[in-house]
Amino acid sequence: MRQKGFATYNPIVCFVYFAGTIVISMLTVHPAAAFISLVMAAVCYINVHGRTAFKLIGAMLPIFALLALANPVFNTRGKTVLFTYMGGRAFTLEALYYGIVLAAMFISVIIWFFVYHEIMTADKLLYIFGGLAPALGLALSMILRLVPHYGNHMKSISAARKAISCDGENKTAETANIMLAMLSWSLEEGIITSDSMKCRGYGCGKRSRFSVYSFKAKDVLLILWIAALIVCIIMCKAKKGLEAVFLPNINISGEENRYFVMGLMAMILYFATPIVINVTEAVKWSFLKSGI
Amino acid sequence: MQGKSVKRLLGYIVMLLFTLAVLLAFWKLGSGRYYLFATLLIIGGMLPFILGFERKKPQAGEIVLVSVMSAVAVVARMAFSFVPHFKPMAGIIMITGMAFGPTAGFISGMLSLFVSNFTAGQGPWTPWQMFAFGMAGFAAGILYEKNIMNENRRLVTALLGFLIVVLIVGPLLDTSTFFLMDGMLGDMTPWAIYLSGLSVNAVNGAATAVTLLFLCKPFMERINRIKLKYDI
Amino acid sequence: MELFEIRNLSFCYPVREREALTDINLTIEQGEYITICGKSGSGKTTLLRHLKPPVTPKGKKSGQVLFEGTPVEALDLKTQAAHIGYVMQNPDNQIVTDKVWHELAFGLESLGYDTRTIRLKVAEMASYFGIQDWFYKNVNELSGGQKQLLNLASIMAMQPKVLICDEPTSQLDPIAASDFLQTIKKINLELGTTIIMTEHRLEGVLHASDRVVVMEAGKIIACGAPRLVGDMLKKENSDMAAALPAPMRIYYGVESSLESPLIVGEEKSSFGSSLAVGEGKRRFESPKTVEEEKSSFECPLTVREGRSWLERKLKCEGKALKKDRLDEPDLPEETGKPAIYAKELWYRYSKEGADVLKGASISVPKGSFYAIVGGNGTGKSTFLRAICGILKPYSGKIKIEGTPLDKYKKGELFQGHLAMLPQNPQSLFVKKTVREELLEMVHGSEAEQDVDAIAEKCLISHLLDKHPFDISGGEQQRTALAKVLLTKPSILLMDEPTKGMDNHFKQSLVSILRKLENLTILMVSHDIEFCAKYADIVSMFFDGGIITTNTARKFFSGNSFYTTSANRMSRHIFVNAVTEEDVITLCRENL
Repeated sequence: MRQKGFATYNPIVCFVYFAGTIVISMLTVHPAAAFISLVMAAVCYINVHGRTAFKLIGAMLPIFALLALANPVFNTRGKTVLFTYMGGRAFTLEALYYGIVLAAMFISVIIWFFVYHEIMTADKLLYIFGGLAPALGLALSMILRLVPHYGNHMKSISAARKAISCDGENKTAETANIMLAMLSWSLEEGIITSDSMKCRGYGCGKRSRFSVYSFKAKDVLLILWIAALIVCIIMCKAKKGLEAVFLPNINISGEENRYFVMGLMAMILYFATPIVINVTEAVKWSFLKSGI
Repeated sequence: MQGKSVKRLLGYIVMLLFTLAVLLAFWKLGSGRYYLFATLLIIGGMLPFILGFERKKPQAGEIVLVSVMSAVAVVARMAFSFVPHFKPMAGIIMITGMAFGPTAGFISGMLSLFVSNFTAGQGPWTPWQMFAFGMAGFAAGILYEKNIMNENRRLVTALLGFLIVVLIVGPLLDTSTFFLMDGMLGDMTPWAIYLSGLSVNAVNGAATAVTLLFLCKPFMERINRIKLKYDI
Repeated sequence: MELFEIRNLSFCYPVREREALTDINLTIEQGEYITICGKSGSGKTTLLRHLKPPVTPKGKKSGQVLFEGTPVEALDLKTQAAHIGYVMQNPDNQIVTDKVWHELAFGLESLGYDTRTIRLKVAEMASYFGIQDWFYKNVNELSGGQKQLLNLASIMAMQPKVLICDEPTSQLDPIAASDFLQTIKKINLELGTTIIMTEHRLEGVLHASDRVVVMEAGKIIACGAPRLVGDMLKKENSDMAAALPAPMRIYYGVESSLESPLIVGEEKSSFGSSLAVGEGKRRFESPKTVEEEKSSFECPLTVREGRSWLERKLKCEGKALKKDRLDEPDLPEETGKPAIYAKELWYRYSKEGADVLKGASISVPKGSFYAIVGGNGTGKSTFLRAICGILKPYSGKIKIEGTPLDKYKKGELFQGHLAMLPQNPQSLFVKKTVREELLEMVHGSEAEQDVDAIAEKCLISHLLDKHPFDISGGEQQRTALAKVLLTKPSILLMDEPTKGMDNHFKQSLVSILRKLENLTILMVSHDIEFCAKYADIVSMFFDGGIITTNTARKFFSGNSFYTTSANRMSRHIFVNAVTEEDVITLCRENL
């Protein structure tokens, strides 16, 4: 798979970025922040995933509505009563507002995970964690190879059994039989793999680690940029620039607070980073391509 | 694995659960932020197992067989997806724990869930699931060493499998849901979440029990044959 | 310099009485290309495994194996890993990681090289082996041939002094196999790496080998230059002679039928082979007379040599050929209902995917042995699966014994009508013993008798109590066949039945199939020699359909590339000689 733009940065940088994104989104209970995170996550997902992204984002809408409406049902605190139901249970504006903000936060985190999934492929995670835990990384790499391999085994076992009519009537029992056949086969194959590892010197001393990823100047720049923005956001949070209280009274920091303005700007810049990188690169590329 | 390090690991787990309980008790102090702390704790909780596995410098054979079993667990989940509510993964992870020891069981559970989530969807719940299923493998491994779970005691093993899911795996996942939903459902107590999760956990527990009842013995026979034949 | 020295090596597996290796003495020089051949179970693999400590089997061992003067067991782990490369049979299972680049680096990582060194070596290997185009791929996307090449490259990355290959091409199709062997030869010639190889397709390796070692029942029965060994096998009437390349077999077949002494032609011998003979002479156990050595000079090893030998042989006589063709009936007119009839099958794996079957049609007469040949990935196996209804073509008609496929009730088709022998026998094994495997197929009071009968037919009676994964590949194949035959099929489909089997197993397979009466066989195969020898009708599968069909002899004599070596060797002289027997018969008639 060819990756471009943000995805070509060093996996560690990308991982730090996503960790930051999710922490910021989860910790900032503020309508403006939640809204920005949600919109940016959606835009980013459309940017990396293409058209089909709309489908998944669309599927999030009912969940969003459900979560937003759930809060006022469970939570009756709040001053402004919109209506009462079931013999006097109050449905309050404040609780609804709070519900919407929480739902936006939740959905934005989920969509950020979609983006993460798109960019942090298995081999990138392997690069990050394989360095910290080599044996575990190796096992993970093997599992990633074996899962599709065993999928093929299951198919060929199933076909082979069907073609001599020993597949029986009960599909569940047959699947269990196929699993058993696959297990025997896989274990035998595993022994050969372990022989092959030993033949290539596994366990003969300290292993080094090779990877196709490396730290480049652009990675350093990006990580500095990320760090600067995170520091800025933390500072603004510390100065109560991104505070919001909903119950029983709504009290939200707004544009009168300069830390709010600063913090929000920093968040926009932070969330927009991958999109900006991708778009700049695309523009640059189309310009370069016209010269070919 | 020696008894000493198992005890030490058990100590870690008790501490971890205690901290989680404290967090739960103070959940009312604020909203939205407990999830992160709890998740960090859970990730921290996986470290001793990972370190244990790394320090032991697993042989080629061990590392391959743990990978094979994890991949089998992942594939089994896909293969049985046509049976509604039947998830054989926890059962197979427990078998791995029984066959290769508690640490290998934990590692296998952790990795199976991680890889399986590449298709099922990664999310904030991933570390919790990894830890919970790792615990299932670990618990089965310990119970096997104490000779309580055993492929020849099918009913007891199946029952214990059910209990492990209902008492350990399920509640851990529910705790994750609780922290994640924190605030959204109003003034809800953790108990409400645990209670509402009970039916799902019971179904998963039953699936695990069925898996162990029918697959534990044949799986163990096959694994033991390989261990014997190739001296692992 | 001596690289390996094996001194009086004997070995016995635990709980077995017969020794697997008996008193082996062999010296292997730096830079040599040695081929070890022998039937399955002759101890080839056991011998190779004694040269590489991590895979040496446990058991009772006596004697010594020295690597550069040091006993192999005493070698430092790193030295052994780096200097002795070991390639195994199965391309899939040797791969450890999920990415091509990671696999290439695996050995170097184990040896603890730093990233820069590894990057350079990996780049070198990728370029040398032409891997750069698939460097970033997942290993699962590779073909079998590519996988085996990757295994080779990842071992060569460690720059071993010796490369040990245990039947490396047995799981590959002929084209991938010859590519692989070319690469091995290139490594030997360009890098001077010592090659020790076992192979049952001697065709591709013999002419490149400096020496051939023949094993039987754990002993070395012959060792020397290829021609000398061929001579000796022939003289002793060893059944290993059947494994020799076609040109050699034809040569011996023709020569042994002549009473007159040989006419020794002037032949240029390459530097390599004269050296090899010299070497061979030094080590050959019984000294040879000059005359015998001369005769072995003439024996052709390759098709090229075979062609010129045949030409000299027949043109020397100075008269026109008495007979240049064998009688061959035409493809019989179709009479009666065909056993399998398929018309215009179209199939694709997914909606958006490309068509794999593009209007494939076939008609298999009752009682015939029908073979479909063709390249890799042309859709042959898919076709076979579509015919038996495991895959559902989106368009087309299929009739089995005159009845449309969809008229059969569930399970009825595969009970007494159709059965398929899968490509991997392992995919049929679920139980703990061979007997249980077979009992799974039969019910009722006569189950035991049925099982015993089929086991005897398939020559596996002695294996009934063994675990299906404890027996050899050929035995597994026969067990799978027994299991398939227990459904009492009238039509047997076989997917690559000779994959990974040596000549003796192939012959036993044929003898089993011949015992079955009224059986129609449809087989998909890469094995041209096998099809030419045993099939009645052969079809060529290409680009999703059958493009030509004929009797085996007409089919292969009509092709010029995709045909047997016997045909390629004789086509300039004989019109339709396809098998070695054909060539030998025609030669005899003309001499």
